[in-house]
Amino acid sequence: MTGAEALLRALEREGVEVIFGYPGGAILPVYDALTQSPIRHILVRHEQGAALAADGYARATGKVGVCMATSGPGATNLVTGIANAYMDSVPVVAITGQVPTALIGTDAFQEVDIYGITMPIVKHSFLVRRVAELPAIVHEAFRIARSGRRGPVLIDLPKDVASQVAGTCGEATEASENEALRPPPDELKRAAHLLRESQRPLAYVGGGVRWANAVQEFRAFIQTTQIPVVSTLMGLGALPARDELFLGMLGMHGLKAANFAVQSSDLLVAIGVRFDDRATGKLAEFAPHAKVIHLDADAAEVSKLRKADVPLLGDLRTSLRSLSLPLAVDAWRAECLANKAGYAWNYNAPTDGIYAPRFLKELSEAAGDETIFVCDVGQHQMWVAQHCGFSRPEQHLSSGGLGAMGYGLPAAIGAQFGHPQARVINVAGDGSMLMNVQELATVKRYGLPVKILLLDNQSLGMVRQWQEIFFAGRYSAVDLSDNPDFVRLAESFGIPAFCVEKKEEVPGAIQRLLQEPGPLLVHARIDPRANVWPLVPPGRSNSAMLEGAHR
Amino acid sequence: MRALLQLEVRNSEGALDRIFGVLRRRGYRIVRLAADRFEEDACFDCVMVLESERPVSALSGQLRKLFDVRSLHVSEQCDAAPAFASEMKRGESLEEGKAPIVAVRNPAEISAASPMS
Ligand SMILES: Cc1ncc(C[n+]2csc(CCOP(=O)(O)OP(=O)(O)O)c2C)c(N)n1
Repeated sequence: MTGAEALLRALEREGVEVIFGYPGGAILPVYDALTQSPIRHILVRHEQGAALAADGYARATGKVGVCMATSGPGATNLVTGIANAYMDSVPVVAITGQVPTALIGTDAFQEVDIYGITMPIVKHSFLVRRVAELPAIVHEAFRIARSGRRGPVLIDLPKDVASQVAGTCGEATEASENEALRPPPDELKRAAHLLRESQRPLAYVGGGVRWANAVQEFRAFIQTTQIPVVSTLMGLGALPARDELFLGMLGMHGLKAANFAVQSSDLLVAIGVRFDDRATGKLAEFAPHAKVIHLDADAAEVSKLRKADVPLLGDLRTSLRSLSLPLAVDAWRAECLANKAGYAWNYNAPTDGIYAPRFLKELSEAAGDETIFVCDVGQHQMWVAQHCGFSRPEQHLSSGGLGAMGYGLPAAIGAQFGHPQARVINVAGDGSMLMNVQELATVKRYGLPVKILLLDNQSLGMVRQWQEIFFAGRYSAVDLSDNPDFVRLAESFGIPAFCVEKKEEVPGAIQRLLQEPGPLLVHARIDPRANVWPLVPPGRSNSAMLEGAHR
Repeated sequence: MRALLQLEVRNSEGALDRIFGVLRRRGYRIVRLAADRFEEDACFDCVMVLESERPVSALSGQLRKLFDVRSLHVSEQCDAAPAFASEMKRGESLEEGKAPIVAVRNPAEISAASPMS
């Protein structure tokens, strides 16, 4: 057995069914071994697509996503995708070919220090120096990626190690999976006490809940306590959007009822969140009257930005179960729900054109709970978060922490491989679409029924909006009015497409998006002047929400 | 703030780079530093004095997360702690021929001690 075969055998043992990758010189031994492996290799058209597809696969399935590239440029092309998984705590294992051991450090052809380059954006990394270590390294890499706070792990594999005969390549010793820590009973008691004392408690929920497999416990906690809920971008779906107690996303583009609830709460139950600046606005003025109970798997997050009055480290499920107490907070709940009703969105914008929030809301209502929405980054991403309703976190894939344009299409591809039967819709912007447009070839090659809703405002809309508001309308490098013809572009990849621009055309477009058996691109022209509201100016308190015209 | 950190670090590929990377990225400057290998070179003992505008508690959580960090001791009393974890373990039985980085009690001495044997 060669090192490459040992690698694939070890991946099979971890249950890997699909690898997203792109071949090249240093990784050739692995591609050779792939011809004899049951693992399915998906050829993307840019390594960034491989890393983001692995990320999308992981988010949609909860399993570890795997991507692979050659040394040098292949490896550097993975970097954005690895950073994306790191920022949103997504379990991904990235495998890179490396120049032969003896050449490492000599500036050999296609040598880059990917181990060094990725150090700040991986949970851990391995450079395989000896073939005998491979099974144990692979096992350890998977264990690290999917334990505690999830994240990406890099395995850099020199070509000589991959070709070396491994002899009897030992199985990895069964390292026991780390039992999640249990929060100490006295802290749980203190937390329960705070909760009982509180008049205005609020749950602030994030992506940590789904990765801790604590969605059920979270819902039971809300069911019992009946406290209102606000969510981060990553936490959407932890509580079904249709739940009465769900006030919406908080933060920079949060809904008013959500931000006001935070500002007047006296106790934040922060669950799997990290007090990110996009969620908190000006930190010193965030939830100024609230004490904080912080539940998280990562000790480094607790009190990192906001001091926790009670830290509950470790298994979220244990904490949530022990905090599930009936509370008497009827007046506060009524106040929050009245705000929610009072600030309910008006979907009748005064326009003959397509009003994106309404399009997305209607699409999401018609699409049902089995549809997975995958966003790119920009205004359209915020509209999806605000106006699509999710009933599970796995239904909403979005590049949160990194905010990487070009995430949508490759991640949708990954999600579709994870759930071949599900309807996967990539909501894209015209700017983002062109960042990984080459993956249309992957959609075509594998006959994936991925749907793309391209919201084309002929500009880098989110940046344009900031220039309009914060730079007195001095527009700089945001005009995309010379976009390609997206319908013909999709068709040239063999993907059917059509264009809509009037609001009367929206119902028909939604129907096609939902009924088309194969891939489809819907090119929706929207008003280039449309903005995302509300907007909290950067560095300001979340109570300073701006609002403007709806187009 | 200033703080003294004593770490036991697995001597794996790039382990020290990783630690220094965290220090730099999270906003902590190294004032003094010494390191020595032990346990048949499988581990590093590392002692450093850091300064930052940020509290050391924010750093220790990040360092403890690193898989190569086996133990971490933090003290804000920079001038009272012994320097090396291995020293505390091995007591007086320092191998002959090793550099004399013994029981540094004062940060000033840490810089004076030769860092590598
Ligand atoms: C890779 C990358 N480059 C730059 C940015 C900065 N950026 C954030 S949103 C945005 C505009 C996105 O435009 P588009 O995809 O058309 O979406 P829209 O905002 O118009 O909906 C840009 C350039 C980014 N987030 N990611």
